[in-house]
Amino acid sequence: MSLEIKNVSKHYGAVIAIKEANMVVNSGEVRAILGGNGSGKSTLAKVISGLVGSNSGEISFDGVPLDFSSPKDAKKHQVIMTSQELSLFKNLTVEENICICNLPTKNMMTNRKQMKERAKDILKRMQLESLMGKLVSELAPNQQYMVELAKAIVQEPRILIIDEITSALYREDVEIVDEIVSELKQKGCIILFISHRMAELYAMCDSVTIMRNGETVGTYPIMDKTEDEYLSLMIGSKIESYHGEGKHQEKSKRDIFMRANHIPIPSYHTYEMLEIGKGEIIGIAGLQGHGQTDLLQALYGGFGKINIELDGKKVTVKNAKEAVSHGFAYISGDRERDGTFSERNLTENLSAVQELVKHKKIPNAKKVLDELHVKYDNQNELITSLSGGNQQKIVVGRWLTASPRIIFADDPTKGIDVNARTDLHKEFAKIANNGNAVVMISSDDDELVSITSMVKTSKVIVMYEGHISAILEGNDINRENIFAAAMPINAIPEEKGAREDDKR
Amino acid sequence: MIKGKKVVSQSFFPSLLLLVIFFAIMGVMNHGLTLSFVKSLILTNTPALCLAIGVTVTILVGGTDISLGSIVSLVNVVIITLAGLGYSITISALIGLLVAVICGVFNGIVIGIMRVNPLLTTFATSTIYAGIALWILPNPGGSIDYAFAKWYMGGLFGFIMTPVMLLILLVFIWAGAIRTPFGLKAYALGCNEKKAYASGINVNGIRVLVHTFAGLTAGVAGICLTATICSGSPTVGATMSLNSIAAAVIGGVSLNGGKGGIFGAILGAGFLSILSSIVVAANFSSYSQSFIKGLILLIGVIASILAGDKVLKDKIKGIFCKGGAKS
Repeated sequence: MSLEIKNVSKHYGAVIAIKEANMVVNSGEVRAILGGNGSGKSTLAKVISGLVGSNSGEISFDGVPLDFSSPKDAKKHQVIMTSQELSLFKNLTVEENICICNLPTKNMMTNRKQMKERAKDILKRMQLESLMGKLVSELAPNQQYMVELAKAIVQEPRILIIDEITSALYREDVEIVDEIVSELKQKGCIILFISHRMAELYAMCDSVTIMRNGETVGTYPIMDKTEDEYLSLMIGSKIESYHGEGKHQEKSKRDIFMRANHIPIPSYHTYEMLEIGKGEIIGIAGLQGHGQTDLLQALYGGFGKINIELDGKKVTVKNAKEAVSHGFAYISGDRERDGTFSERNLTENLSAVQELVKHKKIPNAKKVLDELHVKYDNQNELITSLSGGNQQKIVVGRWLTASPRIIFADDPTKGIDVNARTDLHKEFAKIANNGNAVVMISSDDDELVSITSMVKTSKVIVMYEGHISAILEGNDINRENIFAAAMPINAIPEEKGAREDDKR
Repeated sequence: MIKGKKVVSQSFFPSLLLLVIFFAIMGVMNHGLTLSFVKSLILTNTPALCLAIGVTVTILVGGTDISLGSIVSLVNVVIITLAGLGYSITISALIGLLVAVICGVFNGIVIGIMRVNPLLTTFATSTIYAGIALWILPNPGGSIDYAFAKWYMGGLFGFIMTPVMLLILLVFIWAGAIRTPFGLKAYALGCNEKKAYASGINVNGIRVLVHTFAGLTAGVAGICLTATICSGSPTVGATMSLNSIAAAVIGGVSLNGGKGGIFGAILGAGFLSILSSIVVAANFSSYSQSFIKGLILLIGVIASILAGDKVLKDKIKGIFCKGGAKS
């Protein structure tokens, strides 16, 4: 009995998520899947569990081809996935959530008694009986992840995919997960385990498949290689021609421009501090969802009042409008949601901040568009008629016309092509060189290495679980260092007490 | 005391409070309430209560339905026209009901299977249904045998009136449905559609069922309304759709889906009904009636939303418990 994945590919539009992935997992095997951001791990998991369809390739189990049209179909075949985003319903109780995929009935009615027993059984195994009867919205994040796992296990999976579940768990929770995994293993269940915590992978998994840029690079028995060897496999050789490593200016002195001592990171209930120098570009790296976006939004007034020091003066930013009046700009990588006004034309999109917030006219919209090398027919066409890269240039242009002093950019080059990317990098560098500052998140470490080498003063901050795990400057800025800080080896999850202190 | 606490913490509590207060105000204004007055109140407002149930169900799964009022109009003209053609009352009413259910299924198919936004779909279909009603009966008029009204006002067991029975029937169907796995899945869907899909829930099927049930409630509402007015009008239900949504919100149903229940919606619709009759009875000039009614409605909606606020709720609870302890 084995799960075979042959040449599976998946692309979203022009973006390739998985490229000819291959993998064979035997029954009773726990397989780790390792890879960096955007390497296709989660997409592969979604394809196997029927959440998204593949474009080509074949998946078979026991020699029978599996081609699920929906998660419902996959569940019938006992292929279950626990999701990184969680699939729990906050308005239902723990036991309702655990059993929702397969509710017991009696004369057509939901058999609540049996449902409770079923949930109690599984929660007992996980030492979480105290959660019975609570609403999911009342649970702490780590408890929610445990319930998510319980919900999967109650469906008696033959193939179980655990996607990044342990990254939110404490050590004692992980021990329970470990026990459950070995129980399932004995029953012959196939487990795919996606995680970034190497220590856990060594403890729980038999073998590991490395993914890089959507490809499966290789499969090894887990004990065969050291952490460093796996790390270099994940990074691989450079694909895009970025230049910058080793070209950074050595730690030069910077004039402090802005300082924030108490920046809330709501996702992790932590606080961080940040100093921004004049003319500096700060790159923020880290695995997805480790508090990077929170950090920027907090500085922009997104989570309510925040006290900062700007040019040595104490300033309070209450909301985005005040942030703009202090000369802050916020550029999001999620153009559709936070960037463009899709029903408006280029000029209107370009002048949104200047006219609507600052009540000034833009002297020459055409000049701005040309300076940014936007490819367009005429200024009055809808912004949606442009390619993603050109749309993003207009969003950036909107802020440039407002002459910002600090630009906060959340993965601004997500999903845009290399040329547009280079153009944007140049614009950012120009802004920094004029004595302003740019703080930029990127899921692409290469990009951060490259852009920070373009100005005199720069640093890269790496975030992990809501904390800054490293601040790299000068020649320390390279991909290996960023990668290592984003996935601290032997990162020991904090004890519950310590985490709660932070909350206070 | 424990029971009291339980009631206060329910999401429908504000609507219950409003209902009781305004019922009392009405009693004072009318110098006491007679049984016949309450009966007539129920008779005229059962259609609104039915629609509140129907719309609540669609809101619970994260959708909405603003076409129910038009379905009521359509049912009304269908029944009157058929009766005018010589069909018996029973057959006319049953065909009217069938039309409503078909309208509901159609909404459900467009929303559930073609995945069009519920608000847009029902906005479009409300125009379609209202259009068909106008087509069938361009001018208000027509009449139906008085036996229909008699059946409606009469009681099956002497004192229980037909409208109450019909309401109980609708409540019973829904209460039964949510005790099957369908119920939990509907609430789950209302909470988050993507997660519901990932959990293997038949999202499309639930949406179709829910809109079918909403169609059924509109059909019952149409029958009740026709029996009350005993004539046809193609625009009779026009204002009922949004009133029913307001009733649901006052009854503690979250417009985001997944929270609340039909019990609250019924209380909310009851409050709105009493509010209307108070405003009419208070002899305000006809020009200011709408303004005053709207103002009170707004206050009601705000009150019920504020009551969803946990902090505020705890405060109210505290007051309630103190009061209870003294007595």
